[in-house]
This record gives sequence, structure tokens and C-alpha cells, in this order.
Amino acid sequence: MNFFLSFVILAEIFSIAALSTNLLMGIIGIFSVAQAAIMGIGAYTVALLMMSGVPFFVALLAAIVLCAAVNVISSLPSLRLAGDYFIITSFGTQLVATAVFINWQGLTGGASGLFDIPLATIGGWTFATARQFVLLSTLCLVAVAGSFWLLMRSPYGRLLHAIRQDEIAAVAAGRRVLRAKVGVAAVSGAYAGIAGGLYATYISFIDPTSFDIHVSVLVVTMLVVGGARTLSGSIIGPFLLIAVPQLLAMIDLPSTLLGPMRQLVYGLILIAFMVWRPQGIAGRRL
Amino acid sequence: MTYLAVSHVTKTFGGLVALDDCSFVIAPGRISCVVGPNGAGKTSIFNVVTGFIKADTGTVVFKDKDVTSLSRHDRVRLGIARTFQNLRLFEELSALDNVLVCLADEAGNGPLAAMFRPFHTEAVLKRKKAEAAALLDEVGLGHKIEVPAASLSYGQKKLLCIARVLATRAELILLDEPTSGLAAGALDAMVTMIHTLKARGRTLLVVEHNTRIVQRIADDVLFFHRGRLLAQGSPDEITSNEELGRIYFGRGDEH
Repeated sequence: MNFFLSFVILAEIFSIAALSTNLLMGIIGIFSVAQAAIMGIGAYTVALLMMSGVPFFVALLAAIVLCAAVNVISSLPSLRLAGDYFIITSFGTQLVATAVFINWQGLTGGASGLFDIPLATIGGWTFATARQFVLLSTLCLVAVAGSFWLLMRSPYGRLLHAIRQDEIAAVAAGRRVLRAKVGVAAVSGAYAGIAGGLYATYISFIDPTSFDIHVSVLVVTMLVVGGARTLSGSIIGPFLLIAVPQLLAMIDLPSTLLGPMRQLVYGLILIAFMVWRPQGIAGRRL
Repeated sequence: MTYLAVSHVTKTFGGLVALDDCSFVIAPGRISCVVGPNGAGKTSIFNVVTGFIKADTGTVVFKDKDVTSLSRHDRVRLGIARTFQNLRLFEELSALDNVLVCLADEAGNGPLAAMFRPFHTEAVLKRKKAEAAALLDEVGLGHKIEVPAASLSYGQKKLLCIARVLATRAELILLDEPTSGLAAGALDAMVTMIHTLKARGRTLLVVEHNTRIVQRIADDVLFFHRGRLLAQGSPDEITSNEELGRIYFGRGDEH
């Protein structure tokens, strides 16, 4: 039961990360492979604040604000660079973030990471076991998915789709495209902050590899498999791909093979979807 | 009052002179057609007036306000809006959303209200949908509200462009080749539409190639050639000018 619940929790956390990436890549067309870095900033923020005694809720709020700000700043080059060039820029952002996580040892614990991150507690409720934590992660996913749904339904959501399709036409209509992009980057960053914060307090251990380029690519893969631009795609993708290592764990594989096997399966799934179903399971083509 | 005054505008792209010391004044409530051979600078003058390119020298004054250094979206807010020769519709969005996105009303265009004031935003959305639907009705696309722009016929797409530019509430409207590529029926509908816009008090600047259409819609004609404004006058004055006719049609080049 715990095995299944921990799968659900992880899938929910990555659904929130996928929704964050979906806003940038699927909705407004900023192709970023740095979302794991933003998630990592959220995770380290929550971990460090909670370890110095700040309550979970306040730490999470701080992570949300910080990640929103960082995501806006790291997305700014995309306002000037055309799509393909921004991928390179975001790749750089991801590498810089990982380098900071590894080398700022006094703060992040370096390569060995941070451990014994306290349990999440809100108003006397402690989310210690998977059974308890799944309530918290489900609540957060419902809140994030709900806000995503409201965003997409609103005039603002329609404007974001319009900007992706023809930015010049949106400007010619008198829209403040820069402001709209900053807004969506902030919301996307806030989502990533929530995902990172939940991850840190649930796993209770984080290190630089938890948020490296592989994780960013994994989130993009989730989006491709689930289907970009849609709400359901951002949830289906993570649930399917998080199931892969859980299923592999059931097969009797030598532990040295587990990691490479997982990457191999992810790669095969990504290629298969690109070839046979580029729009993903429940979405549209990126 | 000066309604629209373009003064001494020059624009070069590398060695190519797109606009060469162009000056003209447009009076409100009139339809002015911009004509001239390919490469005359017609679209460039549109781009300068709407802020899509910055002139090297010269000024653009709209309603006594110098708008030369204003951003594109600020000019739209002041009341200058345009269409594009290549339409630039939001192809995946419905006709309704194409218009809705262009409405002058800024309400509901931010993320915070959408997420934290959902009922208010829903009311804004409802109001905007009604407004956009009314505009689609006006241009004769009331029956195509839910259709994605990509699925409309070419004539309908051009009418959708008109609905979009109307949504901005701009009073000076620049139409870049609104009748090009239209079959006879759609062409007549567009000409009627242009007359309707004028009747509603809009001022229009129209790039138009077809001299017969120019005769049907223009109050004034601005004739451009090689980046220079060669003549400005009534359609009859311009068409009876043999020199301009020779430039435009290559007429009389034989001797």
C-alpha cells in the first residue's frame, strides 16, 4: 500500500512540475529545459528554511515567491531570442543552477546534499507517513490544476494561446505581450516552487542530482507523452512515467542496471511517442 | 487640429531607401488609398505610422500628439490599428477568440484575477464574448463564431481581420491590401464593409492595387514611387495624371 501511495505522491509532485513546464512550453511557447532547476530552488528553499525552524507553510510560500521571481528572470532572454535559441539559454540556466547546488557547499551541502529535512506540519497536522502526505500532495495538485484550468479559461489564457500563435498580431491588437509573458513565467515558477517544496519535505533528502538536466528532460518527456497544452496531459504523462521505475523495481534486476534501464525505457518511450503520436495521449503537438 | 501628419520620414534598409523624405497629412473621416508599384514604400509607411518600424528621421503626429517614439501597443491604445497583408490570424483559435483577444478592454488580461477572482473573471469573459460576438455579427461572421480561424474561407478570414481591428476600438484604421485575392462576391462585401467603417466615423488608410477599387472607395489617393510620395489628390486627379499612369502601368514607355 505504501509502495503505491509513494508512487501516487511522486506522480502528483511531478504533475505539478509538468503543469509548470506546460505553461511555458505548451501554452506560450517558451521552450525551456530548466524547470528542474527552478524546482530545485524551491526544494532547497523549503529545506533550508524548515531546517532553521521556519514552519512548512511559510517556507513553501517563500519558495513560491522566490521561484516565481527566478523563473521570470531566467525566462527574460526568451523575450528577445527566437524559440530554438532559448533552448540553449535555458540549458545554460540548468547547468548554472546545478553548479551552484554542487559548489555552494556552505548553503546546499554540496554534492552530498541536505538530509533530515523536517516533516511538513500545518496547524498541528503532521504529514509523516505516505498515507498522510498523499492528502497534502493531492490537495496541492488540485489547487494547481484548478488554477491552471481557471487560467486557461480566462481571457488571459486565450491571450497566451494567441501570443504563441502570432506574437506580432497580439502586439498589433494593443496587447502588452511582455507583461503577459512575465505573468505566465511567474505562475509557472510558482508551480515549480510548490513541486520542489513538496519533494524536499516528502523525500526528506535532496541533492544536486535530484534537480539536474535529466530531471528537466524527464519533465519535458512527461509533457510529450501526456500531451502538451492540456491539463489532463500534464497529469497522465507523470503518472505513466513515474510508474516506469516502480515497475522496473518489481523485476529482479541487478541494482547497477536499474538506473541505465530506467533511462533506456524513458528514451524508448520518448522516441516512440515522437514517431507515432507526437500530440501525446491527451494533447497537441508541441 | 492635425489628425495624422507624417513629416519628413526617411527609412533605409542597408543601401535600400524604403522611404525618402515623405510628408503628408490625413484628414479625419476620410478613406485614403495608398497606391504605387511594388517596392514603392506602401507597407513601409504603414509600418512607420503603426510603429512596426522606426523611421531614421521624421515624425508621426496623431491628433496633435507626437507618437514617433511610442510603442506599438501604446499607439493602438491611442487609436491607430492595422491589419496585415498576410492576415496574421490566430489560426488555432476560434473566430470568437480571435476577436476577444483584440478587445480594447484590458479586464481579465492578467493571471492574478483569473486565478483568485474566478467569478469576477467569468463575468468579464461573458461580457467579452458577447462583445466579440456582436463584432462578428457586424462583419457577417455571426454564424462562424466557434469555427477555428484556420477553417474559414479566405474571404471570411479577411472579414475576421476587420472584426479584430474593430475590436481595438481604433479610430484610424490601416488596411493592408484588404481586397487582394478576393473573388467578386467577397470583394463587394469588403468594399461595402470599408464604406460602413467610414460611415461609422472611422478614418481609413488603405493599401490598394486595383485602380477600380480605388475609384470606388477613395476620397484621397497617395501615390508612392521608390519611397517618395509623388502625388496626393482625389482619385480623378491621380488617374488622369499621365506621368503617374506611366509609372504605375508602364504605359507609354515604348516611345
